[in-house]
Amino acid sequence: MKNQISSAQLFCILFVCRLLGTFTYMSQLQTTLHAGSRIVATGVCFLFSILSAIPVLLYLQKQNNVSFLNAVGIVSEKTAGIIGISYAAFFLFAAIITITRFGLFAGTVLVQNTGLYISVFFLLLVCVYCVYQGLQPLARTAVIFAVILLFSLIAVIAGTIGECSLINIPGIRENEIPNIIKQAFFSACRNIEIPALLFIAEEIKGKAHTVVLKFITAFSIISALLFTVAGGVLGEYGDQQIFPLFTLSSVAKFGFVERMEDLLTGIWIVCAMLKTAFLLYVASQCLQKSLHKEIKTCHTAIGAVLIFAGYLLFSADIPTTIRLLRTWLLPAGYIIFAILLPIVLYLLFVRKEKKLQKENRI
Amino acid sequence: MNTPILAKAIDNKLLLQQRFGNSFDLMFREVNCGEIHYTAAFLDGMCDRLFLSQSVIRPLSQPLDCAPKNAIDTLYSILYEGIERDMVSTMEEVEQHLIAGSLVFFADECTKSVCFNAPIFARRAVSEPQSEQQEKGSKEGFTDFFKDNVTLIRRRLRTPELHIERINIGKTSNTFVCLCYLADRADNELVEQIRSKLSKADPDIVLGAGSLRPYLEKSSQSFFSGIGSTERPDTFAAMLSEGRVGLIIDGVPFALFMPQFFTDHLRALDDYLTKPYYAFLLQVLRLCGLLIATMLPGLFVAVCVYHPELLPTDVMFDIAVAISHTPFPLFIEALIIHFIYEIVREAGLRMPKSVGHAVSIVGTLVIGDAAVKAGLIAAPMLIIVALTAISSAIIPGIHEPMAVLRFLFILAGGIMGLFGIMLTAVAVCISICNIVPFRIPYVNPIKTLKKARNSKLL
Repeated sequence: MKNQISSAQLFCILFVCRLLGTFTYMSQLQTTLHAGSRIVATGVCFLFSILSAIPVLLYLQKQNNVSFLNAVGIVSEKTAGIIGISYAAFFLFAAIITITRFGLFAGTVLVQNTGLYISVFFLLLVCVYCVYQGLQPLARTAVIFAVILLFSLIAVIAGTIGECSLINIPGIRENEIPNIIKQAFFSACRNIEIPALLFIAEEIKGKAHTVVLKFITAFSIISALLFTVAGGVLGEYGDQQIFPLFTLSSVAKFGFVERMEDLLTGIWIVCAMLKTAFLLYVASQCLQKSLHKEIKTCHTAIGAVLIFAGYLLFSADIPTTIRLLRTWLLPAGYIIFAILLPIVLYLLFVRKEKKLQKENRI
Repeated sequence: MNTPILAKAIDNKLLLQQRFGNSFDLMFREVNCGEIHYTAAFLDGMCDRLFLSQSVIRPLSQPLDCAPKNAIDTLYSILYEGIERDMVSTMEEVEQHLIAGSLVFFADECTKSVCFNAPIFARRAVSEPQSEQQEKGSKEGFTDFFKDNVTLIRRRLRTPELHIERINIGKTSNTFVCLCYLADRADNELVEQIRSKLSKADPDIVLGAGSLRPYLEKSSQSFFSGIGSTERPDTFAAMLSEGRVGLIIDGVPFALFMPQFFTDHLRALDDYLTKPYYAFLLQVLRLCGLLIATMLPGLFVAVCVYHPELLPTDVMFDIAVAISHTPFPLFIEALIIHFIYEIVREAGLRMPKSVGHAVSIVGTLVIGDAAVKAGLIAAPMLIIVALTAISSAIIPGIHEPMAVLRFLFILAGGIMGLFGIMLTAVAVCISICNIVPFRIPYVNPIKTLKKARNSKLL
């Protein structure tokens, strides 16, 4: 099939999209955890992520080059339509959370002088342009920025490692264990990119399931490393910051470059944009296969308008909204769309296959 | 519709005179060889008259022993060494040969004619390329005459695998276009794809490489192009040796090659003639030059207006003092000064060389020095413009997209600061990544075409 993306490109787009969550990690919205517990939570999150990804991985292994909706469509066209719209709503919802969260980040540290709504509007405009260009350019751009991102992270770590002290990282306290599990669960539920693979399976060259495993491992390692350095450098001061990793980058000094947070902010903007564009792309793919023909041509624009409307709705009280959405709605959505539905469908496929085998034997 | 050659030479003569509208340069000569009577036609100034009269006309002074209806066949079969000849049977073919610089013979009772090709016209000698200077490379550049250019390529690729196909393109101009490729290296599908696109191309006139680009490129929406051009035969030969396909157009001192990748802009022939570590340094410099030429003014505006904390304190104060004395906001100042720079550049390019120097002096002294002294422009902004101008000269091949993108980045940086710069950078990246000339991504990092084609990474 033409216009496919390679495994390396897929890895980069997943990595860049997911790392935005770590960058804009908000300590005040999470369950109260100390630096040491946060690192352990990252390890537990790795296990949860692997476990929660199993249904998608099983599906990808079984139906590597068939999109989820096409596979459902074989069983029932109507069901495929309903599932498509539901998934589109889920991905648009995830994009709204991304934008809202980014809006808070931008409003706090980035564009105090410019209207935030205008910034989000322009961001969505560029996202729509990206989606219209297709997944391939998006993935290639992700590769370019993944390399820049990696160098930036190395620069931040190298710029702060001198001030890192393990004394600032306290051990785990007994009463923190439930919170660690809770935190790990919430973090694992933010792997929205994994169920998104169900809808772009046809556009992936190579084995997507191995890429997912590599992505989860690499992301967990990088996150753990960043939290370790942040904890070691900032100590308890980091827990009082809205964005501890942003504060970490502001502490970093690399030669004469003292204000690395501004440079990193630029890269974080790119991550936010790529993630929103990716989610919008997947949502538009879902809508394209489910909606009526006349609406097909402008499904991306409709998606963008919905995201902007969602952002306007939620931007009044962003911290409360994010807490509400992230704590309840996103995990619930993740369980339904990334775990339950793929499991049900996987079992249906297995059953159908066995039935066919039985018929062949007879 | 094809018009057949008439059996009477005089009728053919009248027909040609009618077709060329009694043009003064269409000339006829009557040649008698005993009982056989020939009418020769040619366009004055297009063919080598001296050569033709010595090699073709003079031997015909002796009577030919043949029947009148075989006059043309006999003439064709007589051995005239070193002359390209062709037998044609329609007036349209005759016209094409005349335009190409042939001497055409008609004879009574013959419905065919024979054309002896010996074109000659004023042509520029092979000279040093003007737009692609090399330190250690060859000093030969393409000329306007396609056959000279073909020779320059043949001299560098002495192999029968170098295939050169001649095609006529242009309804009015009938320009010769040569499709060049190395048969053992170029992908057959790629050659076929280009051949098919050329066969469908129907421009009225082909006066430059730009006339053919729209027919070869899938989409012209992007700032960058998947089709490259070069003035250097050695660069062109290097591209062919990598399996790319080239086009030589008659009357154009630039050859096209395709597909072109982004990394090609960062390479120069000199890189292959120096040590690898130095070549690597040069390529890094070119990439930095590209980024500076495109993004620096926008970034400067964004940093000074929205994120001054990014600058070291001393520099920040110096810039703040300098821009506080100017009447315009920094963003507007950047737009104005870059606009003026583009005007000066365009004027320097189009003016006669002698006046061009005056333009440079006026540009540097009046606009530069006087404007700063008068407090109209801040000195740091002038330094940024100078740096941008010098950097853009590192990669002259993509001056057009760089100039446009520079304005876009200034606008984005002035309106939204670093946020706007990053948004524009992503949009430009997406636009570049979307270019896939001939099924190989424009941004592929792999230098050789064969490896890029087989790569699983892309």
